[in-house]
Amino acid sequence: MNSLIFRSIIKIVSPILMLFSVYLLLRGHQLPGGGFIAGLMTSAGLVLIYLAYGCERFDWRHRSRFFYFLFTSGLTISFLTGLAGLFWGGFFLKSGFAHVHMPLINEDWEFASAAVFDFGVYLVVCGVCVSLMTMLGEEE
Amino acid sequence: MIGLAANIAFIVLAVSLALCFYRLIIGPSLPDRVVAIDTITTVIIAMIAVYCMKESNAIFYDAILVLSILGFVGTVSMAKFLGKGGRIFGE
Repeated sequence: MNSLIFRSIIKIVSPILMLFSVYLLLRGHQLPGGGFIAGLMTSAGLVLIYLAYGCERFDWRHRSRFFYFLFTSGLTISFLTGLAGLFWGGFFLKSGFAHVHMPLINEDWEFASAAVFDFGVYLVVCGVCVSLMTMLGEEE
Repeated sequence: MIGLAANIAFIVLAVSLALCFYRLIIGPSLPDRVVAIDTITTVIIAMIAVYCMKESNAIFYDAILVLSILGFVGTVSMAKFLGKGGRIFGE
């Protein structure tokens, strides 16, 4: 049922989507982007792979426990980031930043704690979308 | 000059958006509505592009990319849903 054109396009498009989602995740502090839209892009790539290839390369339906683990760990990461703000900053979800010296490129890199929270959101969105897809694809 | 051209383009795009919404509402069958939603996505992408050209900032080009990819995913899954008689996923 799946056409050859669609499969060939997905082979090219979905790695670009994954790379673009990493880009969106990393730039999301000052510019448009962030965890939610990056997770949405990753899950769009995975949904396209699922639509094109079904279960012949990767058995999505029997790996749903992995995606449950993904979004529960994402929630845990986000919650622990909030608790760290409560510990060191004084109130819940207070964010801070630090300048980290990168050894190879010899530059200061501004690391914000909101990036960790964004990574948790990324895992939650990705896991929820993919497990929703596998639930929709389950046979009775 | 580019401002005037962008304003004219906005008017044309708004008219075509209204026509797409009209098709979305009255569309007799489901494929008509799917095509209408896909066209609405395309028109919104064109609106963002015209806005970026008018204001001469490149900050919303990523929004164009995201919107086009999500529109593609939605249209492909609706096409599979319609083609297979109610089953999106699976063989």
